Amino acid sequence: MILMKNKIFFTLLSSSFLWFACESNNEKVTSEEEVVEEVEVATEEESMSYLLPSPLQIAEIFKNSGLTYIGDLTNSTDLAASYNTKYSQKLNFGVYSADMAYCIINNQTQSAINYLSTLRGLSEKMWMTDVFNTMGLSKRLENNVGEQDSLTTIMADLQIRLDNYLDENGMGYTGPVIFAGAWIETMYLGAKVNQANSNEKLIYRLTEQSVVLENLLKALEQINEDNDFDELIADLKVINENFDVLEESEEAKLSNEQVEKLSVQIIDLRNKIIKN
Amino acid sequence: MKKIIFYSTILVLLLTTTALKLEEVQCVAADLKKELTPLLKPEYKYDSSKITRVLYKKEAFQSGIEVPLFMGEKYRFLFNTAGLPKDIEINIYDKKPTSKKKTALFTLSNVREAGKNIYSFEPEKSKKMYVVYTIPATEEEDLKGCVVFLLGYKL
Repeated sequence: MILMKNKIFFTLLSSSFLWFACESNNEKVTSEEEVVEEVEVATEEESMSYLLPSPLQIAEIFKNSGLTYIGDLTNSTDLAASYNTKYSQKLNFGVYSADMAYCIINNQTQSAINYLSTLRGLSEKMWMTDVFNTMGLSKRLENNVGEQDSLTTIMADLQIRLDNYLDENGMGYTGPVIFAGAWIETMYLGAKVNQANSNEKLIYRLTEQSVVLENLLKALEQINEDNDFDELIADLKVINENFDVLEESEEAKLSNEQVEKLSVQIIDLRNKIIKN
Repeated sequence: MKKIIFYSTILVLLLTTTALKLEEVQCVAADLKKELTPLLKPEYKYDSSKITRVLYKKEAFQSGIEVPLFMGEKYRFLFNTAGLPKDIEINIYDKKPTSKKKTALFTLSNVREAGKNIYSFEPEKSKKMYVVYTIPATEEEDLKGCVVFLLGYKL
């Protein structure tokens, strides 16, 4: 009798669990079939995030618009040892990334490998060594000397790796700072090459960067809770003022004088960053 | 022997139903992104990506991503929604979400298919675009997931 009661009890208990699980699954199926309701809700600034393009893409676009290679323009790898604050390390990690991209798109593979080595060293200071481990990047670069497509693919792979690393390690606040360094360096390279050999297409691309600078400023402001980036934001806002004239109309463009003023400000900011 | 079989069966049933209840959509963002990167090949290269972690609420709400694009270049937008326990809407607009003159260039619900989690969009013109996620209301507590957006470019 007792045994029978136990059997009935456990059967009822297991049946109730089965019923409970089935109900949960039914709810899930139902919710998947529901039409997502239309919501007219204004999206506030706080709920927006700002995508930042890869330095490689910007470099390639500049290259297609006449960015040529000028030796000794890029940041000296010797300066890497002098970057001892997290802030200068992040900024100049971006600077060297842009330099590596510049070398890759201009078939300066050995220089690109040197910058890769510098980036690896900086990543160790920043506790980001996993970005470069197991990739065999140097070997891949060496094996693809002269193969432009392969070289840029390798650099794109590095970008994926960096983005994954920052996300998986909750370092979303680091990305905009690294990008700021890369963007400033790429603009610097574009400005210097344009000063040496003025080019309408390149000037257009330099001007077009206003859309990126907008996003960069907003991204930095989002991570500036402790006011660590006040100076950088202020400096970038000064540069951004050069683009105010573009808001007058879609056809508006910078005059030669305005381009020169923008170039001088970019060069000054870049030199300030690399000199720590 | 019969007792052993009987109680073992009960135990298995208990464990199975518990597992069914605890089963949740896993949001391993890196894996979701890995599913997208091969879809860029062969023409497009990886540019950037954004993982949006969603915590569903009792009221619907929106979040968005501003995406700067460069004139004359080609882009591929890729989304992986496998990390979402409940469908959301994805729109891509040509103007700010608050603009009354915006046009939806892409609307997920227009192309959504059962069992499909990955969606692609290639704009005809390149200018700054705005991805807007509309997360529906839910009464469920602590419901969360993620959606991965990846951008590729072709010069």
